[in-house]
Amino acid sequence: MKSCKVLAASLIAITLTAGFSLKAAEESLNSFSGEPVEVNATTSSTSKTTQNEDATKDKKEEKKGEFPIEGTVQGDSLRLRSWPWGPVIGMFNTGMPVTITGESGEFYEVTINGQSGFMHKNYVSTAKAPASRIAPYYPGNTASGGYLPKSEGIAQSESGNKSGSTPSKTPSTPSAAESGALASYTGGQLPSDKFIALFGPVARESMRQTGVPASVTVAQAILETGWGRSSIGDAKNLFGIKGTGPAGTTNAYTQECTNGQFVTIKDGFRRYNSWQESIDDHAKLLQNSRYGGALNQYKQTKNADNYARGIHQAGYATDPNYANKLINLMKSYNLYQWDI
Amino acid sequence: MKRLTLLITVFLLTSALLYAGLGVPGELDPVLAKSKFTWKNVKLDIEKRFDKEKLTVVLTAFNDKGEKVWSSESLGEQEKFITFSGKKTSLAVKDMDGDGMPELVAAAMTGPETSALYIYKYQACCNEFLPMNFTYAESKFSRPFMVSDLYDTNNRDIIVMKNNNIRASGKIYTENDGPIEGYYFFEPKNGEFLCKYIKTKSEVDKPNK
Repeated sequence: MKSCKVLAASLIAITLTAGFSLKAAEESLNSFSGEPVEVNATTSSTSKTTQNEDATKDKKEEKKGEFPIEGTVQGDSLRLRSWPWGPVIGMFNTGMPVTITGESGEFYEVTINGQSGFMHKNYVSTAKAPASRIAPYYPGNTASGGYLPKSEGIAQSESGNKSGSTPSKTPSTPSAAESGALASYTGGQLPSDKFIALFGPVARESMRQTGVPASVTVAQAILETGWGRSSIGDAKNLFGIKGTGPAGTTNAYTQECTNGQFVTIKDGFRRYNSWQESIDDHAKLLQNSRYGGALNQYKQTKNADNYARGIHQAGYATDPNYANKLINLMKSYNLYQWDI
Repeated sequence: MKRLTLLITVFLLTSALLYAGLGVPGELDPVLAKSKFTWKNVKLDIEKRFDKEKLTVVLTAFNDKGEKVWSSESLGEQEKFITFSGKKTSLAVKDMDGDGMPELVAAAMTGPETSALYIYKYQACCNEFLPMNFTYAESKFSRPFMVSDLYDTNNRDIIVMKNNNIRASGKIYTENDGPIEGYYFFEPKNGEFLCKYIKTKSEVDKPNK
């Protein structure tokens, strides 16, 4: 009799466990509604920022010094060009020693493995100045192997150096003013400069954690909200994602047509505690296996245009012109400046 | 003792009934849908399965010996029903391009609002299936699947009509005004599905009164 009781207890336990495992499996299947993982974003970003600021400062000091300087390539498949943004005449990987013989705007004039040419400063380390590895703004289509005529390339290199392609001040975490402005923004259409100034730093912060390029994130937020016009009331929902968010659900009414009659449908949209949460949640989606290939490629090439094309090709958006629309925004408003 | 055995039996049966409706598709039973592909002397059992290891939905073909002869790439992460000739459907086998050979039609969720529809064509040479392209000729853009990024709980975001034309609900992006809800219409042509036209929802869903 005692053994029967034990058996009965075991069966109850097994049945309940099965029930819980079913529930757990159900939850694991619902992979689109997971909450953002909490990470110590500020600490790691701050230390990296400080390092980058030091590197920029040292590079400036280096200018005053005399060439040649010995350096090292920091980045795989770093292009050696005939002139700044000129034809690619070689590619070199991390660790390759390089002799810096001069500079021209964003580029060092170098000799490497017996070849002479120009390499982007952001990917060359010296004893005084580690490479920032910040993806530069590529003028024209030079990112995909094209090049600019000599005079144009040199001019672009010089202007890029001034405009922040090789930033004179390395991007930092959102400042107190930026954070304050963002906290007080409750939605609604903004002028382009204000929208970008608000969301650029947040997207950059997210990029530090996820690798998703900030330029693409900001462009997506612009397209999804029409410069903030439709962020689902006060849900802080930048990407129109339905379901339950970290702060619950906000109901919005939309018109559906059924059997030729318009019917008002109440849809639940994810609600977030902050704009940062909305961006992080979206970045989480872009880290799944479908879009993982595009992200891995971006980590290698730092080409945000190709990343936009990659996620589109992988199934992001029905609109056939989605990637082109993102790239147009990125170019028009130089959103690349927010990529780290 | 008999009473206890009876009690246990009743308890187990009750539990089974309780959990019967809670089974996650693809968890206890990885087969989401089944159909048969028949063309000339080729007979294959087609299954839409949930891959427990990779958490993805795939199509698999088995020969008459029960051997797996082909498996698709991941269609998506969750089951997705579509409206196929007016009915809620998970997997269909039908001649979509009018060449006498049936194709496999199935969709899966790929994001919170986004689904992908795949139409697989049999390749007699290699006893496998390849996805047919969905092409937007005007935009010179093509993918081996169709995307709908406006989810509809009634499965009307992807509709395969009786004439084999397909309608996807999707956003039409504008730079300044946010996205507009729209419909994308495809028709089979020259071995692929061509986007015939794109219309806004308000253009199509005109009320009767």
